[in-house]
Amino acid sequence: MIQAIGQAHLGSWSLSVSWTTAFWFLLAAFVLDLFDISLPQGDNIGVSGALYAASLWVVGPFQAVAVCLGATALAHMVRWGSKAGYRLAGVATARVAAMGVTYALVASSGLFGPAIGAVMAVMVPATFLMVEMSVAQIEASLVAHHPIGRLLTGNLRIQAPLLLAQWSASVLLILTFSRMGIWSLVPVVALLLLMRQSYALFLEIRETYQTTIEVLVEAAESQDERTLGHAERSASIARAIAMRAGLTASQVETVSYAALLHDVDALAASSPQESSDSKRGKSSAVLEEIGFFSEVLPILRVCDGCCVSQDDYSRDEFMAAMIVALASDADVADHPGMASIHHGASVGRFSRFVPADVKAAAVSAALSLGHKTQAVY
Amino acid sequence: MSENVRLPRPFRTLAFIACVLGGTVLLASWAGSPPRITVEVVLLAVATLLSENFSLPLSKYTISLAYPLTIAAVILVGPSTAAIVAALSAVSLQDFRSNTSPSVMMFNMGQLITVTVVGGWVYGSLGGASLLESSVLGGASVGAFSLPTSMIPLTAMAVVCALGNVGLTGLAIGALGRQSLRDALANVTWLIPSQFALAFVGFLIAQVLAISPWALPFFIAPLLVARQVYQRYAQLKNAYGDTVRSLVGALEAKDAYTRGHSERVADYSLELGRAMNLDSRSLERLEYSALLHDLGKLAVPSSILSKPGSLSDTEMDAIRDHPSRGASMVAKIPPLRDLADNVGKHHEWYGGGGYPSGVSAAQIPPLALILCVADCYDAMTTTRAYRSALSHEQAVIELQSCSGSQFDPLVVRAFVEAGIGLAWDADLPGDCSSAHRAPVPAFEQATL
Repeated sequence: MIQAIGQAHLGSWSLSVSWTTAFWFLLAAFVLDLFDISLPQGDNIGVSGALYAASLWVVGPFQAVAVCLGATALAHMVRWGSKAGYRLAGVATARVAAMGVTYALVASSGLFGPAIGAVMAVMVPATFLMVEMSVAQIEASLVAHHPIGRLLTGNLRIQAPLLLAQWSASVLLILTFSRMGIWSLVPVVALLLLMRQSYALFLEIRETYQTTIEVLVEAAESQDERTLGHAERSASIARAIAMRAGLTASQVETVSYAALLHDVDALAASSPQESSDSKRGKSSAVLEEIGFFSEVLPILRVCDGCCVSQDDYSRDEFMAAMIVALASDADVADHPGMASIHHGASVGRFSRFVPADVKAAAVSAALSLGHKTQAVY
Repeated sequence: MSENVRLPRPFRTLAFIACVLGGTVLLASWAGSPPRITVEVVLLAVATLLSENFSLPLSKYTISLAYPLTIAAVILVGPSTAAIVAALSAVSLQDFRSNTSPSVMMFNMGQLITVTVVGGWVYGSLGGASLLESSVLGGASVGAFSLPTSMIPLTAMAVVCALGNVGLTGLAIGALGRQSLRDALANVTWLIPSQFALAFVGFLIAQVLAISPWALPFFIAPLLVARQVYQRYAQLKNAYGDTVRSLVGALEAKDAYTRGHSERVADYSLELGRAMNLDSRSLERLEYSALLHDLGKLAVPSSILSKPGSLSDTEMDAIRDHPSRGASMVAKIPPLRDLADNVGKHHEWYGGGGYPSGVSAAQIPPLALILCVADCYDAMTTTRAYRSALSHEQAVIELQSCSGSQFDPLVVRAFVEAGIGLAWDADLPGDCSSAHRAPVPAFEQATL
């Protein structure tokens, strides 16, 4: 069937070169873009790429670019108003670039004859979605000075299911458009909204966890003005170092939790004497029973000085622990009042067990961000 | 639900009725239109079996992807054949492995067949055509009818199937006696919008199958992604209460006198809430409010909290400020923002004169009045730096003597009548925390 579509339309490029059809695509894409999920780092989880990819095949290149730019601009202006400029430029660039590359691919496919049509109907959405994601990640890496290689592979791994799902939805739209016409948008948009809704719920509960933990730690820190804000500042520094070191989004999140909780033993201590006891350092023990922190615990154990050899933990765990300790040390260095009372994660406590290249990568990421670090051996 | 747990008689009766009803409508539909087994139907049946064996277990029911497949079967070949697909969606190896009670399986199969056949009948009665039948009977090309002309019958079928499925599942949860019918229905009605969207996905599946049966795999990724992400959400949501309990417990542990206080207050509050017949949503809000009610106290230095003698004015101000501080902290957690008022007013008195603002009952949220009783009872029955613990009887006398002034009389009466606190051993706080979390059987909930 896809082959039939390809054979019938490769010559005339698209299924329906119609501005009316393009208008309905624009409207549907606008609705999906309007409900994009914005992530804290300014990134988005959107599902409208499936429609843009299909529009390229269904309505033709010029109409598709119009759909893409029109819906993107409209949705950004409605959502962000006067602040839309920077975001809009980034998203539009990624999408138009993806359109261009995909167009070049399809245009060159004419050289291989109409038999290639079936493959092209599948390749068009795949190419569009991959190029869009890649360009968006390159933009992100340029803005935040992240290493593009690790960022791209890390995000590709995380976003692969969403890309695959969007690609499938796009192919389904191309497949059903010839029978259902513009009405094929209704069930495909329903399918995309279901995916979007699942992500929205998931991100909402994740945000709830994060803010709850931040609030609880802040409440406990409030006992002593000298330590107030240390956990949150350490988490912020750790996130920046982790991103600079090229950790994936989920690793950055885990590092952030570990930094937020690296002093939780002091917060749960019954007296100031106990909390400043430099021999204690057992944040991992305080959180041992909490299943949600299972990925954070190994990092805190390293920070607590619970390792005795390089084989105890993975490279990623050592890297995360180094980042947490560097962030904590950097914040203590910036707030001299804390030096006398802070006992938590410190690079010196465990660095001798950390592989040399991991140490070098973490320290150079911290130094490149301008943070002070103590000598690491 | 395993065999060794005997299900309540109302549920077994409901399961029997659902089974008989399902069998009757199945036979009636076959009498009118014999089932037609085509390649498309076989593919849908296989996909249904696969999706059922990878369904998502939630706390009270199961979410599977069989629902859009059943809708697709109705649209493709009509309800009499679709009933077979619906019946298959009640067959799960997981049920056999976990010794699910035959009553539960009978109920699931009966309700799914009934809902599918009735939904399909509504679809057909309102002019909805069967894609493959219209091709055979009318000579029209497969998939010739459009969504606009099918919109009314499709919408009607989606409404009937969603309401039927959700309503019967809610009824069954209620019949188990573990939840009131109101709570059971409230807990499943939020699934209706997604069921509605999945009906349109079912329409898309039917269209794609009519064009090319081998295009069915294209649905796997979007539906699996949606379900997997939803599964992670459900797991995190279910674990949220426990995570907050553990974290608050860990941070509270610094003060020997208040160790475990918030968890116990949460458990007393939940018992009180149930005794006062609160719905499940209010109970959840009450639990979170109770767990976080002393958040502001975490910011009060231990030296003040554990001071044995009388407090200075400054120290007293720090104590009296903790509800407001706690409220402003809770307000920073977006989904819990509306609980800030409960936290901020849990030390207000029913008759006025409490702190921090001294308002009376009309301005105090009902959940804060419950928190107030639970909080004071726990404070009285545990040893503090400035006095030793009262017995349960002494604490109840104190609650009753302050009823109408400090405490809401309705809450105190509910506390006494329900015998809250009697079963608690002050030395083992938290031991009863899981008593109200008895497992309930999995139900078919054919939606995302």
